[in-house]
Formats: sequence, C-alpha cells, structure tokens
Amino acid sequence: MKYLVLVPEALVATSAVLVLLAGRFGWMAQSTRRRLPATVAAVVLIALVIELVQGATLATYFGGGFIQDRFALFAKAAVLLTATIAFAVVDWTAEDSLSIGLAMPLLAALGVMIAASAGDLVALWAGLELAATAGVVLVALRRPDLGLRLLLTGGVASGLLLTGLAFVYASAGTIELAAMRSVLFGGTTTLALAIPVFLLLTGMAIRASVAPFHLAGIPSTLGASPLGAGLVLGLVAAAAAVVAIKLVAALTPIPDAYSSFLQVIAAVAMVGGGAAALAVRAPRTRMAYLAAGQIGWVAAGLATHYRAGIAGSLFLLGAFAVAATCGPAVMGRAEGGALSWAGMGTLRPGRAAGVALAVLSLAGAPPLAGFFGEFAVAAALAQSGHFALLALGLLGSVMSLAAAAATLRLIYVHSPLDEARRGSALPGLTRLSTAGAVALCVVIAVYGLFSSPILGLADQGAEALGLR
Amino acid sequence: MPLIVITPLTAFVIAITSVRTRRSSANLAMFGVVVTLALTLLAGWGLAKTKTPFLHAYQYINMPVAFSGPVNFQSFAVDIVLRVDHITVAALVAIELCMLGVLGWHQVMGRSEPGPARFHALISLLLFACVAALVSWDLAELFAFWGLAGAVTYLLLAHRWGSDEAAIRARVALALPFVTDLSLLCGIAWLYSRYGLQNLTTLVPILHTNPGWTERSLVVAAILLFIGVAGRLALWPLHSWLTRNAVTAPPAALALVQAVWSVIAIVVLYRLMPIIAASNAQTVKALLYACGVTAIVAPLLALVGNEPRRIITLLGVGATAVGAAVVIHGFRVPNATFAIAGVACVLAIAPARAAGVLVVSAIASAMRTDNMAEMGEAWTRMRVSAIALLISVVVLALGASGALAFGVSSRSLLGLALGEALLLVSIGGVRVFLTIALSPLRRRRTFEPDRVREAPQASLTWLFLLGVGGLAIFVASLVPAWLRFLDGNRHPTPSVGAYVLWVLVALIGFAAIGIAYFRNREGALRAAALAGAWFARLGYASSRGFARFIVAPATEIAVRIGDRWIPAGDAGVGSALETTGRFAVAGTRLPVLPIVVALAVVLTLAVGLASPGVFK
Amino acid sequence: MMWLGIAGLALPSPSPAAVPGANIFSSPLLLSVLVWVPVIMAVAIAILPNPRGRFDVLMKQIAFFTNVGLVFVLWIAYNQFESFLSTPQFAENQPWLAAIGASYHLGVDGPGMTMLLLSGLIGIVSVLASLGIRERVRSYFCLLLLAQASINGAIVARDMFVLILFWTASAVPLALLILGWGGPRRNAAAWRLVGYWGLGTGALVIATMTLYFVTGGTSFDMDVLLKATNISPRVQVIVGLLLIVAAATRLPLFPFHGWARDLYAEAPIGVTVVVAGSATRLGAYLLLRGLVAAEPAAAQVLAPLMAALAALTVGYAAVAALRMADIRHSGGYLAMIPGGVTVLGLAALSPLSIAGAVLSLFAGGLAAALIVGVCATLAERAQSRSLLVLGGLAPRMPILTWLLIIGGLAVLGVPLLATFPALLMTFFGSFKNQPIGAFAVAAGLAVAAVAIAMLLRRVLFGVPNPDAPGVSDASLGESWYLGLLAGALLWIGIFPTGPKLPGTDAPIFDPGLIKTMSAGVSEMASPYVMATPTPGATK
Repeated sequence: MKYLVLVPEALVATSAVLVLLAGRFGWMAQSTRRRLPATVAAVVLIALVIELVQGATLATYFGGGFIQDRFALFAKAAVLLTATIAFAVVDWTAEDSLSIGLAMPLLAALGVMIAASAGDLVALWAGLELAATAGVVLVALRRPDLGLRLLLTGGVASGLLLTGLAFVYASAGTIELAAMRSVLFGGTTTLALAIPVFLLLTGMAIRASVAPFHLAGIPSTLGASPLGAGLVLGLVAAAAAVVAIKLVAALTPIPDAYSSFLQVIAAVAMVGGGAAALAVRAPRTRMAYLAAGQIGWVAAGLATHYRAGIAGSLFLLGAFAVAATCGPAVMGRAEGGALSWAGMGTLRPGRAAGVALAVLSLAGAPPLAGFFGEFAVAAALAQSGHFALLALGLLGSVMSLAAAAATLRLIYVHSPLDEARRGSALPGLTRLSTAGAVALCVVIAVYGLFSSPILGLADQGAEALGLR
Repeated sequence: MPLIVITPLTAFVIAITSVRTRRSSANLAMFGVVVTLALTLLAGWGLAKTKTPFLHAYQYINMPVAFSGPVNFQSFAVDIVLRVDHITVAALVAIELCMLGVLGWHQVMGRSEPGPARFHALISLLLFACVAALVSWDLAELFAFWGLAGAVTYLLLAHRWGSDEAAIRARVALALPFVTDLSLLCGIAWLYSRYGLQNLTTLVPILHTNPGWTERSLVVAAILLFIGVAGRLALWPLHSWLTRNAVTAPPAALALVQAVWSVIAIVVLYRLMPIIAASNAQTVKALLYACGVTAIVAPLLALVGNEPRRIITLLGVGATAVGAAVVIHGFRVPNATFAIAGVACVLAIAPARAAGVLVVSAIASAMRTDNMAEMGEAWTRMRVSAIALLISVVVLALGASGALAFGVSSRSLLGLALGEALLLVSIGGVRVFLTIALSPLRRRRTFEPDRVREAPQASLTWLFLLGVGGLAIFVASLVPAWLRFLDGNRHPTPSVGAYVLWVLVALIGFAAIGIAYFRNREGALRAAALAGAWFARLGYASSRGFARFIVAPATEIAVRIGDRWIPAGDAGVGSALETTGRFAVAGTRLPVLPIVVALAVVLTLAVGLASPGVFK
Repeated sequence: MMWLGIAGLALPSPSPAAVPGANIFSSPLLLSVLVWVPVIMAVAIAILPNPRGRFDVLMKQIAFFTNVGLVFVLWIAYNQFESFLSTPQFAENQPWLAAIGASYHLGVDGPGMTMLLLSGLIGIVSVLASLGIRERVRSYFCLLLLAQASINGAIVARDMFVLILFWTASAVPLALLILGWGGPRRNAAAWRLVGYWGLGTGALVIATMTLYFVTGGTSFDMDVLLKATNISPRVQVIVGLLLIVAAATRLPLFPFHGWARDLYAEAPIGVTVVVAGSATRLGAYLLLRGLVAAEPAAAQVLAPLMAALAALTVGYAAVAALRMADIRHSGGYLAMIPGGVTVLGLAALSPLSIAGAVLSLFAGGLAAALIVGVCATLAERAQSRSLLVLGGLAPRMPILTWLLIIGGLAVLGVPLLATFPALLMTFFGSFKNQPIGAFAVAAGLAVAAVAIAMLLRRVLFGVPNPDAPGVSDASLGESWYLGLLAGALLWIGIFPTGPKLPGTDAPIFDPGLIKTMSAGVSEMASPYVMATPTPGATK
C-alpha cells in the first residue's frame, strides 16, 4: 500500500519505455497507432488521478532520496495535467515520429516528477537532465543542427550546474536539501558561496530559457516540431523552475546569495520577453517570448525568498506549464510565417480558442490562469517591498498584453487566407484534438475560478519546503 | 398660475413636433403669446386688489449632502418657485406686447427669412424662458431659465446661418453674453458657497447675520452678479453682442432680443439689488458710475456712424442704462422707494426700442441701404413709418425723464450726468428721425427714389401697437399710482418742476440737433460717417488683434498637441519598446556558446560584486 | 441563461421596499448576474454554430435581449435600493485567493448604482448602435458583451483584486473591436488605447500594492485598503498621484488623453458609445473611491492638481474642437469636457461638489456618448467626416439635427438636461475651495460653446455643399439609440428626483436618481465638511 504513491511515476516511466520499444521494433498495427495517443493520454490521466488521490500522503522513500510532500504533489499534478492535455491536442500530422513524440514528453514529465520529489542535489540534477535530454531528442528529430545547438548550450548549463552544486556541497557539507538548510542557518553569505550559487542559477536560467539566456532555447523551439517546441518551452522550463524552487528553498537562510541575481534575471526576462513578443510577428515565436516573459515572473517570485512569493511562483508555474507546453502543441501544423494563423478562428475554432487562451494566459490577461499567478507573485513582491521589480513586471505585462491582442486580432479579426498565402497546411482536426483543445480552454479558464484551493495547495507546497 | 409658464412651452413643443409651414408656425407662436398675455392680464387682475404675490413652489432637487457642519450646507435644495408679483405682471405685459408686435411685423415683413418654423419655435421657447426667468425666485432656477433664454437668444440672432458674415458676427452674440451669464452663475455659486442658500426670500435676511459672512465675499458676489446682469442689459462695453449683429441679424430677432432682455435684466437687477446693496457703499457707487458712464457713452457712440439700427440700439442701451442707474441709486439712498421708477422707465423704453429697430429696418429695406446718409424723404414717401419712427424716438428720448423726476435731484452730480445722457439720447434719436424723414433722397446706381413705397399696412399697425404701447407705459411711469402698483410703496409726487426740467432737457436736445441739422446737415452726416468709419476700423482692428494674438496661437498649440506632439511622443515610446524587442530577438542569431558563457560570467561577477551583503 | 439569472432573483428580500412595486425580487447574487450573464451569453454566442452567417440576426438578438434583461434586473435593483443606507448593498463576499487575501467581494452604494444604471443604459444603446455590423458578427457581439461585463465588474467591485481584474480585462476586447471594425486609422487608435490604458492599469496596480504593503499585506478588500486610517500622508500622496494617473488615462484628462481622439474617431459607433459612455467614467469613479473617499489627506494635498487637470482638460478640449476639420474629431474632443467637470467636482472636496461629481458621472457619460455617437452617425449618414464637405444638412436630416443640438447643449450643461443639475451642483460646491479652477472650467465651457456653435453652424445650418455626397437621415435603430441617450438626459434633467404622484411625495416608478445617487456620498464627503464658522467676522 505504501508504494502506491509511486504508481504515477511507474506508469509514466513504463508507458514511455513501452512506446519507445514498440516504435523501435514496429510492434504496432496501424489501428493501434491511431489509438495510441488517446491511450497514452488516458494512462497519464489515470496517473494524474492516482497522484491526486494518493499523493496527499506524506512519505519519504529510498532513505530520503525521494520525498512525497505537498510541493511534490502540486508539481506532479501540474505536469501530469499538462502532459495529458498536450497528448490530446497534438497535431500528429505535424510530428515526425509518433512513438518518440509520445515517449519524450513522458520522460520529460518523469524528469519533472523526479526533481519535484528529489530529496538531494543528485536527484534534482538527474530530473532536470532527463527532462532536458528529452527536449533535445525531440528537437533533433526534425532539425539536428538546432538539436546540437540545444545540446551544446545544455552542456554548458549542466556544466555550470554541476560546478555550482559541487561548490554548494563543499560549503554545506551535505547533499541533502533539508540538511543543507539547517547547516546554512546561521551561516553567512560569502562571495565564495554566492558565485557558485550564481552559476547554479545561470545553469537553470539557460535550461528555462529565461532572458538573457533565451539565446539557446527559443531559436531551437522555432525550428522544432510543435510538440518539441512545447516540450522545450514548457516542461523543460518547468523542470528547471522546480529545481530552482527547491534549491532556493534550501538556500533561504542566505538570501543575499541569490536574491539580487534572481531579481536582475527576472527583470530582464519580464521586460525583454514582453518587448520581444511585441517585436516579432509569427504567432509561435510570439508565444515563445511570452513564455520567456512569464517564466521571468516565476523568477521574480523566487527572488522574494518568502513563502508567499514561492507559493506564488509555484501557482504561476502550474499555469505556465499548461499554457507554454500545450500552446505550441495545439497550434499544430500551422507554424509558418506571420500570416499562418490568419482567420483560424473560423477555420479551426477549437484549436484557435486554445491558442488564444494560451497566448492570453501567457500574457497574463485576466481572468485567465496566468493573470492569477502573476497577481499572486505581484502581491508577494509588494509584501516584500520589491516595487521596482513589480513596476518592471507590469511594463512587461502591458507589452505582452499588446502582443497577445495582436495575435488574437490575427486569429479572429483577420480574414482567412488560402493555402498558398498561408504558407502551411491547416492543423489536423480529430475528435481527440478538439476535446483536448476544449480541455485546454477549460483548464486555463477555470484555473482562476478554483485558484483558491490551488493556491492553497501551492502555499502548503511552499510550506513543505520549510519556508515560513 | 403655472399655465403662464406652461403655455409657451406647449407652443414650442407643438411647434417642433408637428409644425412645418411658415404660416402655421407663425400663427401658433402668435397664439401662444396671446394666450400668455391673456393669462398675465388675468393674474394682474387678480393682483390688483391684493398685495401678496401668487406663490407656487415645486421641488426640483432636494438631497442631503452632509450630516454635520453648518445647517445650511447639510442639504441642497433647488425649488421651482413661481412667484408672480406686480412687477412680474407689468414686465410680462411689456414683454408680451413686444413679442406680439414683433411677431406681427415679422409675419408681414419677414417672409423672406429662412427657416420660419425654426424661427417661430425659438420665439415660443424664448417666451417660455423669459416668463420662467421673471417668475423664478430661486437663484439657481433663475439662472436655469436665464441661460435657456440666452441660448435661444443666440440662435435667434444667428438665425441667418447661411451667410458667413452673419454667422461670424453672431459668434460674439454667443461668446460675450455666455461669459457674462457664467459670471452670473459664478456670483450665485459664490453666494451659495458662503450662505448655503439661493432662495431670495431666505437669503436676503441673513446676508449680514449668517455666521462667517465677510464683506469681501459680498463684494465679489455683488460684482459678479452685476456683470451677469450688465451683460444682458448690454451696458457699455458689453453692448457689442447687440450692435455687431444690428445689420446681419433678422430685424425681428434684434428688436425682440433687445427689448425682452432689457426688461428681464432690469427686473432681475431690481431683485438682486438688496444683495448688491448689502456689499458696501464703494461697490454700489462704482456700479452706479458704470451705469452712468454707459448712459453717456452709448448715445455718444450713437452719434458716431450712420447705421440706423445700430444707432437705435445704442440709444436704447443709453436710455436703459439711465433706468439701471436710477434703480441702483434708489437702493443707495437710505429708505428711498424710487428705485422702481427705473424699472418702470425701462418697461416703457422696451417697446419703443423694438418699434424703432423694426421701422428703421423697414425703411432701410425700402431704400435699399443701411447708410443713413443715403436715406431721406421718408416724410413724403413713407409718412406713416416716419411717424412711427418719430413716436419711438420720442419715447426713447423721454422715457427716462419720469424716472429721473422721481429719483434724481437735478443739482447732484448724478443728475447732471444722467441729464446729459438724456440730452444725448434725444439728440441721437432726433438725428435719426430728421435725416431719414426730411433730407433729400438721391438717386443711386440701381436705385430709383420713386420706387420707394410705404411699408405694408399690416406691418405698420403692429409698429403703432408697439409705439403707442411704449408711449402709454411711459405716461404711466410718470404717475406715482403706477409705481405704487408696481412695488406697493407710497411714492411722493415729484414737483411739476422736476417733470418739466427733465422733459425740457430732452426738448433742448431736440432743438439743438434741429438747429445744427438745418444749419449744415451734410457736414453733420459727413462728420458722423467719418467718425463712424474710423470707429468701425478701430473695432475691426481690435477684433482682428484678438483673433490673431489670442485665438490663433491657442488653437495652433492645441492642434499641434493633438496632431504632432502626442503622436510623436507615442511613436517614440513605441519605437523604443520595439527596439528593445528587436535587440532581444537579435540575440538569438548570435553565436550562442561564447555569448552564453560570457553573459554568465559577466552577470555573475557584476551582480556578485554589486549585490549587498555578498561582497565583503 | 437570462432566465436562470432572473430565477436566481426569486428569493425573499432581505430589505424592506423603497418604493411601491419593489420587493418583488431580491437576490444574494444580483450583482454577479449583472457581471457574469454577459460573459455567459458571450460564450454562448461564441460556440453557437453559424454556417455562412445564417444566424447573424439571432446573435444580434441575443446580445440585445441580454442587455434588456440586465436592465430589467437593474431596474429592480434600482427600485429596491435603500437610498438612506450608506453601506454597500446587494453585497456578495466569498474568499477567492485566500492565501494573499483577495476575495470575491461585490457591492454597490449610491455612486455604484448610478454607474450601473449608466452602464446598463449604454449597453442597450451600444447594441442598437451596432445593428449595422455586417461582417464577423459573432466575434463583434461576443467582444462587446465581454467589454460590458468587464465594465460592470469594475463598477461593483468592492475588492481591489476584483477591481484590477475587470479594469484590466476591458482593454483587450475594446482594442480588438477597434482593430476589427474600426476606421482607416484603427491601428493607431487601438495601440494607443492599449498603451495608455496599460499605463493606467500599471499605476492602479502599484497604488493597490502600495496600500497592500502598508496595511500589512493581509487583504485586498476595499474595506481594509481604503478605510485604513494609519497610512502616513506621504504614502497617501504617492497612492493619490498613482490613482490620478490611472484615472487620467481613462477619463481622459489632459496630458494622458492621447488615445481619446483617435478612438472616438476611428472605433465603430457602438464601441465609441461604450467607451465614451461608461468605460471612461470608471476613471472618475476610481478617483472618487480610491482618493476622495479613502485618502482625505492626500486629496487635500492633490486637490489643486486635480482642479488644474480638470481646467486644462476642459480648456484644451474646447480650444482643440475649435480648429478641427473632422466632425468625429470635434465630437471626440467635446466628449472630454464632461470628464473635466466631474474631476472639478471631485477636486473641490465639498459635500455638494462631490455629489455633483457623482451626478455628472452619469450625466456626463450620457452627454459624451450622445455627442460622440451623433457625430459618428452623422458622418456615416452624410458619407463624409470632413467639415469642409459637410454643410447645410439641417433640412435633410432633421432628426440628427435636433440630436446634435441636444448633444452640444448637453455638453455645455444647458437647463432641462441632466448635465445642468450636475453642473449646478459642481459649481455651487466648488466655489468655496477651488474658485480659480471653477472660473477656469467656466471659461473653458464658454470656449466650448463657441466651438459647438461653429460646429452646428458649419454642419447643420451652413450653406449646403453641392458637391457633397448623398445624405440620408438617421435610420430607425440609430434614431432609437441616440434618442434613448437624449431621452435619458432630458428625463434626469426634468425629474432628477423622479416623478411624484401629484400632491404626494410617492415616486411613481422612478425613485429618483438624485436620491439613489446620494446614498453613501455624505459619508465619503464627511472629512470635507466645512467647519461651522465663528460668528461676527466681518472682514
């Protein structure tokens, strides 16, 4: 009974491996292939349900290496929900390989789950690397050059990460996060401790493609398949954010070591993301930069190094993961130029609504998921008196809102173009994809309605990390 | 009693809703005026026996605004008070007389005016506003109908929208009185802000007893109120809204407006005088001087220039100013009761003004010129009109003498000034009459003197109605009983000497101009024409200067702000953001590895060294 | 859906009837109905199948009857509104983001009720004005309903979080409406709108967060943030300045009016009416709630600034309207004037002037909507916007002529129109504290009078232009929507306290806007009541 909590991880892992093998050795009949996405989505949904039912039980496994607490519950639920919807909405006609396209998001989700329950630095690192590698694979499937680019920058990232972790371990004397917290209490911040922490955070910033380290991630997503883009923008970034949250929680005794650094990164990301979203035209590129801006809000929440701030970040992270992963996925095959989505509101109403809500949510438009998350972070910023950061964030949000409005105009106000001028085929239309798009809309729309329990859970999650 | 107010409103509503043709609209307006007049006379009959006015009050606004503080300010109430007293009735009769005459005349002579339906509807609305303003006893209510009448006045004067000149000249008829009306509003608001009341019955008694009252505040209020009234009395230098439209406005509108407004304004001035008088002696004296100066300057201006309608208007202004001076003087002298005589004389002058304007415009149209120097021989060619003109100028000239007889001692400085005013008015009036009636009418290009015909009989009857009516009221203004009817006070009968003296002054004026005229008419006219030309040039120069140095720069700035500066600013901000965005996007095209590493190192060191608590 | 809303009302009333005929319905979620029913109907329109525009008419009908139903609900609320209560009525309060202290708290007091009435009326008017929309009907009415819902929500919000939510939400639908159905320069208009309103939103959020910070970061409820007494004057002034910026970008006031002219000139008529009528009034409403009623110290300090902004706005708008060559531009500038009057009333900080400001929220909204709407309709009907082309239209469009005249006079606050009592109360209340501002606004009004006279003369009574394109008078729908605005102005102008049964004090069916509006105003104004002066002073 005790290990029931691990069932979701087990489900995700096994289905990933099975799908990979089946794809590799061609075990699947055509009919099976057609039903596979729905099946996998169903499996992940079951995993989500089990997580929600069983995940509430607090427990530690493997000698503290795997911790199931409220934080883990929240992160896993969010990522499983994301994966479910993503599988439902993906336009498989636009993907290169069904099996890999199904397996990599599963592995990435697994990575996030591992990181979320990680009790020590190693597990954290492992989870993040797993997610990132999945991303690299999916990108490389279509554009090996971009995959290589992502791999290289990822290498730099994990190099920085490892260096940082090593130094932190050296100065804390333990790799257990909880123990590290207690050791660091009473300790003082020194440049020797701060620099590795900075490197650590830089590594994660590269993984999460937070400006100014978006040079690695975002261009790769633009060439990748829709699901690949969603994976890199959403799940990998979520993994990095989860790791960052756990690390920051562990380092709260020495806020000087990271607070100002995170503030700088957050400010650049929020403003830069909004401005870049305003400057580009193509919907998917715009979505990528909107995501970069919103992950900046997550970083801002961390910078407050208060419980409310981290709860806000977590709350926003859920909204972000869903929108940033499913947004590009639901966009499907129409990833061409600026006009590729012109008038899609009449051609593919379901997908169009999904894209519209995802974009609005990433821009933080009320009353959608992103708005509530950003508002929670903003409230935390105000509580801790970071008004300059708040003002910059608002500036970024205004620009993001304008960018989102421009995209909506393209989708709903622009009249549809013919195939030739659109530059790409229409996204596929299946019952599953429509249902997924509707589900995406519902999740993004009602996230705010149920934000009270969700934020409550996020708050407990932050508390579980030992924050007051 | 409310019927008096409602009737013209009904006429207006019917007019705008269902009437289109000229004849029906004219008849409707006429009918409205007649019914109102009948009701007014009914009210007068009812008031003949009693001294207490009819009073009806309806609540318009009544709301609590505060729970503490001075009691007066705890709630705000505006009542529609209909208070019909003897002065109201008399003023109403005078106004309705003028309207009757003007409407009748317009029906005959104004066939060519554009938009007859609109014109008559506006006249009904004006009547409504005038009646309501005269019966209102609550200052807010008073201003409401005063403002309404003002708006209608502008629409009437600017009736000939078709011609650019008319429209441009009418602008002053909007702007100038609107400013003075706002000054009236400001005065009322100022009083309210000090006393929390705007009902004359309750306000006047506490002027000096309300806690926290200051003389300064009363002075400000008095000046603001007086400016408000003076604007509509067209006292110099606020008269240009009438004179500048003398030529371009429809004659009926011009006549009606100046007659009606002089009556309303003088009555309101009479009612506001307790407040003005409560301020302090210097203020009242200054206001008295203002009226005196106008009384002299206006007829002096009338001597300048040869445009007959303008001259008649200015003479009317002068005579009215004498009346206003008498009213103010009446409140200056302790326990004197002759202030009402000023009102009485203005009541008499109003129809005469209307008649004068109408008759000269009739003659002008018959002789196809607006230049008095080119008119003449009306006595032989248009005798009846000439007689009507004579009557009106005589009433204009003599109108104020009664009031002076009652109020002003001939030995005082004021008496001297007002006497001079009387003299000038009579000179101006007779000048008009003599020039138009007796001087030879020369042949001009496209004008054949023999073609000049008498105006249609129908129009002349209405002119005589006005003239004789004015004469009758003037005669009445000489007898104390009339004044007693008006304000209910007993008035000492002035000595016959006084009457004779003031009438004599006017007669001297007649004689003087007569002699001057028969000596050298040409010289007089030429001098007047020359002066008039110079004066007009001055006026145009000033208005052009105003347009060039005040209006143009202001509008230019406004247009620039709207068209250039704001768009430029927005574009600047927009492009700045755009550039930031492009910069962020451009980064993705750079060689990624070195940049990332460099960024990481730089950021790390920079923040590490900069952030507080780290670098020790 | 509508009927669900009505059914939700059929619950026992918590409060005694204010007037005969009330107390039929009452509801714990009346305000939620007003806010969310439009959203639900918008979603319904959005998912309604519409093959080749077959159901366009149905969508227009849905939008129209939704608004009619809302006005019906509103009328009930209006009739059973307790004008003697100063506390918020029809209140709803549910915890929302409990962790940061944000709650779903709605409620209206007198000014709120006034704004709701305005918004409801404008809702019907805007739909009537939009009947001419032919293309992408679905998206248009969907967005229109969303915009109306967001405005209602911002009006009834009693929690700063809810206020910010709806305040921000209104910008996107409006921008899309302009982008999709606007005139030739719609891009500039829409992006200016987003930019300026975004600036205002930012200011509002920072102001809110500042209050949240100084009140201990426990709750966003207005009862906590705006009734806090321990806020230092300096913080109050900072918050006040931010709120003034937020309000100035909305209303708009002088330096922040950049979006107004383009929007009023380029947006589709229905949208201009919504913006001019109700959306922009939120600015002054915020100023009333957040500054005048909440931070007396800051209000005292900033009153001269507000008065100066008001005077500048009125003067600038009037002077700019003098020189316009485009009738919709002139209409746009003239529509800025009532806002200036409202702010003057708020700046004067006397009980009467504040009451006047509240009334002029309503009357000014109607006047602005009327002048903008009639200018736009006239331009459409005359097939030209250029004042060089238009001329002598009075004989050919009598209905629009009268409506334009009424609109112009309403902007000036001429008697018999609702703006007159508002102007009267504002001026009467302003002369004690802000005489200079009041004089300046009066002067601005004089200039505006000239501008309006020139407009009337040129367009209506001038010489007809033989080369001008063909002209037709207003259609039935246009006459109705403009007539509703003009009628409301006249109604309030003639019966500000509602029509009474002759001889009694019982209102017939309209309890009287003035009475309703004054609920709670006295409390807002209580810090500004003038001290009873000492008798005997003479100099």
